[in-house]
Amino acid sequence: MPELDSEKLYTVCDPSSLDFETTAEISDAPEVIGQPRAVEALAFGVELQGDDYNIFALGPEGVGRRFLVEHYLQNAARTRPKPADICYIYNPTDPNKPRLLTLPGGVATGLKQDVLRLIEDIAVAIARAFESEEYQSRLHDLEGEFQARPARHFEELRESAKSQGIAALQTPMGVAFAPLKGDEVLAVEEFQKLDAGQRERITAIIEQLQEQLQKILRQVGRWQKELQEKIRSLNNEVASFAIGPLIDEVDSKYVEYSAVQNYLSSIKSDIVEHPKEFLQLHEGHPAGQSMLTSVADRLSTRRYGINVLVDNGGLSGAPVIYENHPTYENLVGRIEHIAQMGTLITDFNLIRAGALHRANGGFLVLDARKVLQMPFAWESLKRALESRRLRVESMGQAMSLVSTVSLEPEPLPLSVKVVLIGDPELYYLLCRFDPEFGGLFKVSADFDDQTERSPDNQLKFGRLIASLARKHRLRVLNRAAVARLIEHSSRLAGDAQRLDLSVGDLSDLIRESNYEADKTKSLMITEAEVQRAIDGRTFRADRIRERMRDAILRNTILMDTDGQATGQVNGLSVLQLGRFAFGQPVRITARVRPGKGEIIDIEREVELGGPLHSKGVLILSAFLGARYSSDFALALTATLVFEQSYSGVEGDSASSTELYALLSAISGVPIRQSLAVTGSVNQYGQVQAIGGVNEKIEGFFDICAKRGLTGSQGVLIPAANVKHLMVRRDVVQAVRSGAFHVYSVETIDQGIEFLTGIPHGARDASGSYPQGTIGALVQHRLREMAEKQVAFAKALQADAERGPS
Amino acid sequence: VTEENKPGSIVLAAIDASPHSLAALDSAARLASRLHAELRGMYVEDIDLVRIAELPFARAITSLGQSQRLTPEMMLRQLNRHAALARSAVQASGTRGNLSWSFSVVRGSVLREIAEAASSADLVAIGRRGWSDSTAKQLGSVARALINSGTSSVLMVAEGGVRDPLAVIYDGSASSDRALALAAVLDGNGSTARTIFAIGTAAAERLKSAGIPEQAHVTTVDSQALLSRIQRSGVRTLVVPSTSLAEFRDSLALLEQKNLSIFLVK
Repeated sequence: MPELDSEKLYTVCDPSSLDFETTAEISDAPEVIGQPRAVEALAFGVELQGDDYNIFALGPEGVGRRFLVEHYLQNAARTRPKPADICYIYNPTDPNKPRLLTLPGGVATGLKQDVLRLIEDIAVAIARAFESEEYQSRLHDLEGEFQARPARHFEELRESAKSQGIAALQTPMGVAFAPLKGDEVLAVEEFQKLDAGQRERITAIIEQLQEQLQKILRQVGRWQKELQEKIRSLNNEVASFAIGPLIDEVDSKYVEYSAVQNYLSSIKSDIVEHPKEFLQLHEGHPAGQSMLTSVADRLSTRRYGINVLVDNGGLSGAPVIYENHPTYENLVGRIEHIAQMGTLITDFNLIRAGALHRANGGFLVLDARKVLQMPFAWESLKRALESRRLRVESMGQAMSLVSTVSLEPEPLPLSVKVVLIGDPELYYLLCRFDPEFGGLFKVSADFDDQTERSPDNQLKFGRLIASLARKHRLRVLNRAAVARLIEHSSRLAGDAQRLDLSVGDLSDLIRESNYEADKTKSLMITEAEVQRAIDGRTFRADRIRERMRDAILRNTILMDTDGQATGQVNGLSVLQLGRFAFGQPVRITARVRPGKGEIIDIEREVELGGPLHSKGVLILSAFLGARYSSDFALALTATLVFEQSYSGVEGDSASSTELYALLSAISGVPIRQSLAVTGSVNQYGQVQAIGGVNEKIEGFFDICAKRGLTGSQGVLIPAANVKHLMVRRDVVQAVRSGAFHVYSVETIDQGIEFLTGIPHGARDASGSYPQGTIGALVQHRLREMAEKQVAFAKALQADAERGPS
Repeated sequence: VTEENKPGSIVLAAIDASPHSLAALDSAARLASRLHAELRGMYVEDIDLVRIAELPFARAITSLGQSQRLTPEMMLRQLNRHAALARSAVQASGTRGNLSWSFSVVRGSVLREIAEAASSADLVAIGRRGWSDSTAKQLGSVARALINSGTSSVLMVAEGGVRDPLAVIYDGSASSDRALALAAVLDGNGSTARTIFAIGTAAAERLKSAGIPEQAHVTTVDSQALLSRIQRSGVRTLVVPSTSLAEFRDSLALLEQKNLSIFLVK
């Protein structure tokens, strides 16, 4: 049985292998290492032009996914052109559909200020123009001309009537004509006295006058319209003359931007068409506001101003946006409302940008889980990416839940590369259940949680530590502290040959070490501070471990650490409580009796055993049958129990332990209780690797150490796990001094021999084992049980043949 | 300058229930109240309208150009309705101003009946025009006739009533002294006229020696420039002494273009 020497239990990082004394010597260093696959994928995804080549950065929490993604994107963004500013403006033809105005980056805000000044200037110019003597005089002439025209026609008609002896009188119902006698209307009696010819003549004249009057009245409407046209034309002429130079001045400043010129032209034609309305707007303010609070509140500004959604003036390249709260509205933008007189109103000034607006022309980084948690955020993101159009609409509109009139801003052409960051499970779920996902996110940047612990990577890891310490403004670390952190990283990886890449966790540990240095007023972080930080972490988390350990030490949970017992083995389990894992020894027992050839896993029977555990137990019966009873039936019933285990058991790491207990129970040979065993087993009796080997060793060591190390105590681990060993230093020390032992096991035969002190023996050609070996004892006992069962069956049959006595 | 109240003063309001005439009633009631005078309301059923409606071919052309048959019943109904409206308006004004008031309805020639009633009144208030076409802004025939007759002071009220700013023309005559006093009575907001146009320096001097009202703004003008000054000042109510009327009677045609209330003081 190979016993492991102490060097095998802990792979030390030699501080002298690091090329610095303290981290202060390291000037600039990366904050992420060991992600070549992810970096390559990012490069591919970023450089490949295509709207559907978005990226999903998958990897475990804390490996620096976001940092690496943003770092990479920011570098890539620097060389890309600055995207356009995004604005919305009034649409004179349909105010409910604001127009999109995109301008070269940095132009929009200046234009907005120029337009604000322009509106003020226009208001002054128009007011002055319309108050001018010249305008008033021309208007007066027009109105006078209009008023005089119908009056003249009426007067002419009246005179014409009078000359024919007819009066035109205003009655409550309208104008009526009647024959006159002197200055008075002819009474009906006198009219009747006239001869028929006179009466007819009068009637004919009156009918003619009525027709003429009707003709005049019909013309009044036309004259009124003509007047309005003339006034409008005059207003247009005056307004155009007044504001033309003002607009031309701004126009000349933006002569190279056709969009601005179109916009200014539309402002001009709208104001020239409605100059009086402009003045009313300019002097008015939104209803419900008692006074004007600012220029921006003017109705004229609200109509003709510019709503700058995104000003890219401050950028030196393409934007890289991380949206921490990716709600629907924070992604696609929103349309706000103002409460006025109990009503909610909106206009294009209340359109607000979302992260997609800000990231347009660049990159948007999102946390996949957050996006999926927010109602409609994921759907809206996909819709925008698919259509390559960004439409700002309320959630109700997007879902067609409301039909009230609201704004429909012109959609923004979208060109953005989205990088989602999420854990692998989420990525695979999306691949499986969202048919659109694969089409939109064609690049997966797969982040590893571990990397090889090569000398080169150890150096890089040291530089990473320096970088993190500087980032968090912590003390410098000496190289022994760095070496200790590297060793701890291996321990976290559960592998002496690998390093854990959880940057977040590493960063936390450095800060905690700095805290320890604070307490001791140490100038730098040394190995001692790091160790205290690690111990502190363990202490804060190990209340349950201590409670369970006490239960064993006080014999509440029965656990022997010396002596021998048949059918009883010390197994090792690992408990994970939150982020803290610890080893817990457990007594495993086996009892056998003649039976139907089954091994009863009591854990499974009471539904405390998981499927992997059951699988391990079923392998045992296969192993037993094939190994020991190839020419007779396996006629035993064995029961296996994790003693005093009151919660579930999962995993097959105890299957070798259970097999040892079983072999001991069948053969009747006792097992050394000073040893604990871990390892899974296959059908051929080979011991296979398990997880949590370090915690398991430490769990048994702690019990033995508390009871007093005898020098005979130790742990059997699978040989395949030797490379994972990074056990605590006190364990290493005990092994070095011979007070504790760790053995590596490759086969069950090796293990049972060491546990019982009796060789297992090898089968000869006849299938038998040498006398006195474990193999022979097991085979003999199994055969005995099989024969007893056969004899018992025959007796039963004879009884049956004899019939009832 | 004050207007002494003559005992038994009569303010006559000739009402045809048109908006102008109702505004005139309002001003008449205010003047009656301040002058402690009796308010007499009067509605004249125009005999010409009654006769027209009796003619067999009688038709009215509405402002929309439609031809409508007229009957005596229809006409009487309209006249009665207007008379009832006028009565209730006079009653309301009299009650509100705690005035001694009366109301009468007569049938006959409007000009003649009002002129007759005006002869026994100190002040006549009428609308600038009656139920005439709203596009015309000239003075109505009754107003015109009263100005020409000159038997009593006439207040011709435009739609909307007597409104600020108010101006008085002062020519130094006794009539213009009364105009100044009545303007103070008419002006609801204070005891003085806002603007006084003194015609010629002599009038201005007289005004000065008589004591210019404290808040008054005196402008000396010659009669030629009077009209344009009035137009520029944006005056809505003009108090004119009858003595000055002859000076710019020709210009009244222009004044008629404005929606101006005119108080012609005898």
